Amino acid sequence: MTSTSPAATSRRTIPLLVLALVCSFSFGAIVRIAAADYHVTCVGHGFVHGGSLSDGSFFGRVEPGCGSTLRNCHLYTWGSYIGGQTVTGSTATCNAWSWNFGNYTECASTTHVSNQGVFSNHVHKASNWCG
Amino acid sequence: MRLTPAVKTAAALVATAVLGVSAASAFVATSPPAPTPQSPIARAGSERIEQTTRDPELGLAWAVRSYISTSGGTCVEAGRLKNGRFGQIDAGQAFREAPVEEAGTCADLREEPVVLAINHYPAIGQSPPRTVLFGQARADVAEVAVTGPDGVKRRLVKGAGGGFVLSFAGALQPADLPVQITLLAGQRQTFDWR
Repeated sequence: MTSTSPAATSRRTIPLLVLALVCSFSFGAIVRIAAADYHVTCVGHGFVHGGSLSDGSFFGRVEPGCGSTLRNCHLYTWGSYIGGQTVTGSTATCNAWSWNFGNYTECASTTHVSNQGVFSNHVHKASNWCG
Repeated sequence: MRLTPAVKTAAALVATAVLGVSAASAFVATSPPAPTPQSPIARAGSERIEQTTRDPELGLAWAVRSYISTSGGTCVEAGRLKNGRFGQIDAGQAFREAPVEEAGTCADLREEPVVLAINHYPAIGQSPPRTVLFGQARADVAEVAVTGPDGVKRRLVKGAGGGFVLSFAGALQPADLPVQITLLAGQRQTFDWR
């Protein structure tokens, strides 16, 4: 039967803890960025609140850059499509405003954005998500 | 109660993982980036109605409003026109005047000859779907034309500042509406939305 000395245990545990710290930080960072209502993947894009979090004024937005010439920003509320925008050209910002399409519950809304050659279609939720 | 080394290690791992996730939440920034050269915020007093197009089935005409952004970008937005006021129709068919918000589609016309956008309006309530092409051309653009899904090429009538708008019945794909511009110097450029 063998026993493990405290020093040997410590030598094994400390690298394990460092590894756990690195992995958990990476996981947290990925989740944090993925859940953000607006972030940068080469260009800024996502869900932008208007005057407040609850006035029904919000935007789906994709900024130009990174060689893209086709951008989409579409809006959904309670999972239903309410409208959207497509822009082309090298300098135009896709900017779909909720008020263009009616009066909708802001916290239950999402934007689906894509930027050809830069990132594929994905969803950003309102920061005060209630859907 | 004495804890075994395995339990202590497991507890330390859990605590470390929680610490790591918390640190990521605290240190990874998710705030919007700094304003870009195409800030969509309007320069006060720069807005104007550029052009309109009739839509007899829906009643109120469509309009394109333009403004200059605080960063010098050229911005356009599509809407409806009622008694000279620019706004939108909601699902209950009520007209709502739209203030000049940061709602324009902005581009840099020093770098390209036209800002070009399509708004997609799904069927809502009694309103059938619409696809609205709009934008603004630089002064050196002689002609803006779009070929519809019916194969007919339509020249867009430009407003005083180069703005244009055209609505199509139905929910069309952008690729159904290739746009061709012709510069005064004769060069042509096609935007096929692909």
